[in-house]
Amino acid sequence: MELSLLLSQLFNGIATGMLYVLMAMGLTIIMGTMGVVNFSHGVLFAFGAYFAYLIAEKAGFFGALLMAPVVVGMIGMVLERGLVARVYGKDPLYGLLLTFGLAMALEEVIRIGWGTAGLPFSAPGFLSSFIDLKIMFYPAYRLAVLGFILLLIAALWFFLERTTTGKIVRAGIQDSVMVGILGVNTKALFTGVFGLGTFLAGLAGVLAAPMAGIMPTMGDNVIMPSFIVIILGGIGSFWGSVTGGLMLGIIVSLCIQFVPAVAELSMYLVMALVLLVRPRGLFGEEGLFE
Amino acid sequence: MKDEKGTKVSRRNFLKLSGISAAGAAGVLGGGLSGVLSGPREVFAKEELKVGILDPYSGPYADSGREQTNGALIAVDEFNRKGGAAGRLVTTFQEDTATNPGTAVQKGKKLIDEVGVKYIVGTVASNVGLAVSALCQEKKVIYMSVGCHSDDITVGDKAHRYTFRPTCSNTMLARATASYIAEKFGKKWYFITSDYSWGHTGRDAFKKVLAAKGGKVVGEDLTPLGTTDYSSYLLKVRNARPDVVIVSLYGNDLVSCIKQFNQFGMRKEMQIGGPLNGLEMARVIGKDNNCGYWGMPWDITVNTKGSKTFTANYKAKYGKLPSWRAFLGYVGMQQLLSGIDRAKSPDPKKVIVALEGHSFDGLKANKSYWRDWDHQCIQDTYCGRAKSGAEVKDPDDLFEIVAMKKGDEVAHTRAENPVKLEAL
Amino acid sequence: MIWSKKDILWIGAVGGLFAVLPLLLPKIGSSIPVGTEIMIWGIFATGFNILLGGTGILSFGHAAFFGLAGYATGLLILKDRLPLALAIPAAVLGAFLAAALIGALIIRKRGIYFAMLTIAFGQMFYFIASQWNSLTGGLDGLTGFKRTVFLGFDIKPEVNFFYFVFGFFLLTLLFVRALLNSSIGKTLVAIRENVHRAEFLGIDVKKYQHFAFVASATFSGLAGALYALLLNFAFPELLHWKTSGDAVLMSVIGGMRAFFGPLVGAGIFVFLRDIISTYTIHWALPLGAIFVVFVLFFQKGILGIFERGNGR
Repeated sequence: MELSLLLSQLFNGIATGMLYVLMAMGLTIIMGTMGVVNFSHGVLFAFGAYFAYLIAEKAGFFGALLMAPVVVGMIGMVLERGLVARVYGKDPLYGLLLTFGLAMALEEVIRIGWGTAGLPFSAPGFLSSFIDLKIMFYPAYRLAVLGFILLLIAALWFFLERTTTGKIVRAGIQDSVMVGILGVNTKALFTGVFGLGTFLAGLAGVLAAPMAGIMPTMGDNVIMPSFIVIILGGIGSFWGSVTGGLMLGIIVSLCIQFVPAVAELSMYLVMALVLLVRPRGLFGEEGLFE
Repeated sequence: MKDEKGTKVSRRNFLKLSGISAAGAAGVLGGGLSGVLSGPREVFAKEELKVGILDPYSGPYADSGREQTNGALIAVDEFNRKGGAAGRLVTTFQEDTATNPGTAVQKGKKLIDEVGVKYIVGTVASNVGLAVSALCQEKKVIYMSVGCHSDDITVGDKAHRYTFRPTCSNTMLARATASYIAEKFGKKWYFITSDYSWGHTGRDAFKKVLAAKGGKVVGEDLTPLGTTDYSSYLLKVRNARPDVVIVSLYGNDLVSCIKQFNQFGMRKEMQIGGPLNGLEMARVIGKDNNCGYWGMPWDITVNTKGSKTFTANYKAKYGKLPSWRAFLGYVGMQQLLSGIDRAKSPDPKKVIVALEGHSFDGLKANKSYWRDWDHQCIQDTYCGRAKSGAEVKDPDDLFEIVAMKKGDEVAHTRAENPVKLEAL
Repeated sequence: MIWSKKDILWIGAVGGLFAVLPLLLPKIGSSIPVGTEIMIWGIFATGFNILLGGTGILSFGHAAFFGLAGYATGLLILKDRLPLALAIPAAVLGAFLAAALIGALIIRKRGIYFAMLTIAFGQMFYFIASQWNSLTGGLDGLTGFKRTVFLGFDIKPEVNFFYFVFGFFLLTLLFVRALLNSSIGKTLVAIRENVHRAEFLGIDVKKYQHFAFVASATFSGLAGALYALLLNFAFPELLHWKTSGDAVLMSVIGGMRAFFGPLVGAGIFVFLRDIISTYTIHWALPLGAIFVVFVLFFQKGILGIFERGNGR
């Protein structure tokens, strides 16, 4: 089998994996800081796409890219203050159950608001062609998304490593109780983290919309892969999300290339293996969730 | 806790019992409410015909489901204006299959057991169709499998006496489309197939025509229903350098695949085609990305009086042009009611007999008819070319018919179909 | 006595209510299969609650056993391979064995990791069923089988099948009640309340948790076999984690700590799905919202409301 095909699948796997990275980032900071398994992350991803559809009519793609994630982040913060905060300190399973119910209800809200059918959404005009990469033609838009997410990862890294707020967030992921004792306003921190996490989910949704279209069930397809990524990479770990996301993208692409029948099965197999053999994943901390 | 005595315990027990009874009563009452509010009760049964409509209103095929139901309702209006079928007015009860066979069976049972329908019209996905067909045979309810194209609805041991198929089979579509594509664009084909009965039989039908023309299969892939990202598959396709890629996909799946086919620059390297495409998908694909050659049971450009009338009626009622899904919904319901009318009885057995062998104006150039040994509606079948870019003048006029085959030329022959329908 | 007088009275009352359901339902425009379905979900949820409410462990993968037994039943009676009287026990045994194996593998993990593992295994079952077209029919589902006769009794008619399921329903209620009353049941509660203390007391926690997993899965299997016979159809969704989620939903809304809680939840679930879906396809919204409210404010579920105030 040709090298160029293998390379193109690897490249495509990495590019697809980038979206998983974005989703996983949001999930992992929420899980790491507050111990909440946010099942509603997928439906918030969908909300990002749907708000983008609304906003793009007036403000174009870039207006949507700027504003839709912010709207989703704000919704996230409202959900956190109103509902999620009530399960802090309880058995983490309550958070899981709560967000599971939220996901169910919110997905229906999408159907009520925008109908059950798919909505069309296009990339900005200048990105809708393809680029000759020698080993294949690749959509300009996907390349742009790849580049954009790389920049975003760098920005997030800078935020977490070099800014005070970022360091507080990291400390919170490590030990939120201690951070509170040290005088940080944990209420605000938690709200902010949830807002940031959901902002990233909404952003991923906007970016995904031109690629696969907008559908009420689009969240369902990404929620499980996102969990698999953070388990693979390690809950609460920045580089874990990056590595895990890329790895999952590559695994799926290579499966589709060589053994298509097990492409989806393989994701869950990986998940089960990691959970059984090394639950903290590649870069996670031991004993975080037992 | 077990042996406590005293008023405190009894009150709690009383409340508990009330709670359980309340929930139970709620369930019972609710069941009753649904029966009462879903339609007139048994008192009126003699005076009206209850017809169940089962279509997807959510899930990947939701757009098509809406269209089918819309078409069916036009047929209902037509009959009710004339006083109904066999003198009884028609009431319809719609349920959502969610493009899911399990849900469809539950809803089908609800329509049959609770509402008491003796006829079910609809369904889009063939896996739903096969499940509903088995249910209806068991319950002795007529099932108009309006929009299911998989061969096995009328072929082999999954076909049933109580099921009729108003649309074309995959084999009919393939035979109308595949030879045209093979002759014009080349004989090295790659197949991307939706992994369920409709996808499989669509692919197989196309493969048969390809083989008969001396063509070659250069590769194939199965994709799960609901796949949104075809990028990895398209990379494989491109690497195999086929002349044509045949995509047996539908609904949102087809939309995603064709958009990505364009985005990956493959449109200038090969042709694309498949068993089905239609207006509701082409609208979402967008006129810039619309391309390929597709099997179509009907199109608004079919130049007959019946088609023009139907198109005008549909536009008047719904404000947009009909896709062939609407056409199928219309024909399926219209034929059911016509069968009841001609049988002069609501008895499903008599209606089945009235339908078998019956020929009628199916809004096409040649007459359509119901074949008695497999319940396939034999009708003209088309191959349509998707129009794109500047040639699209009307946003709803997205296809051009390039070939037509008569039903008898393309449907399964008796020798090809070993089906044996049950006795009545 | 493994059952107290109260237990017998309560189960008798519930049994009596369900026994007359086939007479009531058609008279008010509903149908007997709706009642059958409530009982089947009641079996699933009541058994499931041995693990959730009884032992304090959350699984999102019990649909794997539900669906496994459903498919097994269908495959075993297809083409009259086995009589129903053998097929149902065989299918339930299959669920039991699968749960014993998987449980042994994953029970050493706790909390979120355990829940995620159950999702992983459930989804593996789901994808195998969706893709093994030649065996399971893939996304078309398994057709071609139907319930006929069980030990000479014709269970084809809906009303006959209702009472057939009713028998299993009563047996389930009696068995689970007895289990929870027994020393095993009390040990499970001790483990639920404080795992570490149970360990210090010398209890083999993992063994008991494994037992709870397998016992609950066996009832899931029984429910699955009956459900496949209700519809004469088996399909991949039966194995999906969202179906597992339905069982969780029922237990939480009805009340995890109350014996009849899951049954109440099952009734509400079928009621909402069936009734509201007549008016709107958006029935998941009220269901999800109710679930959220219960998770937050009524952690003891509906039946918990009747226990000491508002059940906090």
